[in-house]
Amino acid sequence: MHTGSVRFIIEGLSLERLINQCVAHGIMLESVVRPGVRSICATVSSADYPIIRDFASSQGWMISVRRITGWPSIRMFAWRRAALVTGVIVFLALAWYTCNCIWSIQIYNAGPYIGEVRGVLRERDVRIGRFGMWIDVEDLRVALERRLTGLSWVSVSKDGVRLKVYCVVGTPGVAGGGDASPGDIVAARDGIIESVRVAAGTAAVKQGEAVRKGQMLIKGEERTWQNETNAVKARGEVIARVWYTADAIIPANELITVPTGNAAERKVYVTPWLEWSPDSVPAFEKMDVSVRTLPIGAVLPLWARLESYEEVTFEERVRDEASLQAEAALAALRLAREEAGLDKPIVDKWVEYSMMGDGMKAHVTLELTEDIATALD
Amino acid sequence: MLKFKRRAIRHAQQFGLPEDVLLGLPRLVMHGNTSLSLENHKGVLEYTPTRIRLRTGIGTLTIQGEGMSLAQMGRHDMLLRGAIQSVGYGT
Repeated sequence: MHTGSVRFIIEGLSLERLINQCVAHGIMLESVVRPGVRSICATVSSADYPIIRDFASSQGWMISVRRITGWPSIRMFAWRRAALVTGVIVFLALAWYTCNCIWSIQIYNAGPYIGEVRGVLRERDVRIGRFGMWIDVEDLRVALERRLTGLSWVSVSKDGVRLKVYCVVGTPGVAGGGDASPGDIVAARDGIIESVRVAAGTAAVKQGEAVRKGQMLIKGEERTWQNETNAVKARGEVIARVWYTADAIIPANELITVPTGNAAERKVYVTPWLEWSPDSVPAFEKMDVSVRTLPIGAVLPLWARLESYEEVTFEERVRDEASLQAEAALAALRLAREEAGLDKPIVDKWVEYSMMGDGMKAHVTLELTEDIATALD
Repeated sequence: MLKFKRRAIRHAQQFGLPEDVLLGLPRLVMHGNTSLSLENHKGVLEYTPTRIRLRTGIGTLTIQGEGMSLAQMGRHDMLLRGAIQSVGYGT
């Protein structure tokens, strides 16, 4: 491969003969100057230089290279600085590799399925540090859709070093009750009607009436002046008193760890591919472990993980009843609030306690008013 | 031979034909006094920064000047740069 040029100086007598020989062989000379009476300096393509060197050796002229440009000079530079060039190539290869790895996995709107989504990702070895080109997003999407039937829609995409999993949790349909038909409005849950406001259709319930989930509240039909019935899509608001319940059981005994006083530290150097530590894991039977991670590789994916080990023993302790009840009530209340919706005002609440085997059970009932009307279509 | 060449030049002029192409005559183009391009040369006889002598089909072309150099030198054409003072045929 000769795509460069060579500037040479040739010394001897009758150097015009060299120019004529070059011309006769079709060699293009450039920037021909005479620095002295017995020397000529010129530039030729690197492909023609060996021919001129042969002329010089046959005529007894002394030839020497002044400068090489183009690809041959790059090749010489690479040959002389092999370690530097190798380092640059390795750095670029590593940079390219790290830029093509997955460094963040983001799961959106998976709701209660987030653990299962993570499980499917784990099964398919989709993890941080995995080379992105080896992850088949379409295959992953199909696997998520097949495994998680509770999701109505899944999308998996790679965005640079991020893997994004978008989910939509499926909403179960409302079971129709009695003679309800599409276009009617039914009760989303059990309750006692507080008020009915009909925008379209005919009210099927009245204030103070107890309704069951799925019962028709507003019928999707209206009567005309001629006593004819027209089918309409029912619309309206049905406010009812509803109740949400939740249970929480807190164990009566608690297991606590008591430090024995023995402690150790361990430093682990971590890359996405391997881990190395100069220290071994301490041989404690039971221990508390705390971990701190420090990035030490600047732009390279290298971390130092500082692990602190503290030997402990387990002791079981019986908790007092008041704190048990308080904790169980708080947990049950939180569950009930999550089910009811955190933004809704609570009208009333009850908490009942009972001992269940080894734990304290709290049963919370929340009363609140809300619109229970839901379309049946 | 010279008689034949003169006759050929005369005929080419009569018929309006390009003499440099037909007879291999040198073709000189000068840009001011700083560069000169020459086609149909037949080799270099002498090359110094002040004097360049070239062989052509109709004799020796002598160029005199200062700081002259051959910017390009090909099989049939060349480009010369420098402060050209005179161009003439003969020794």
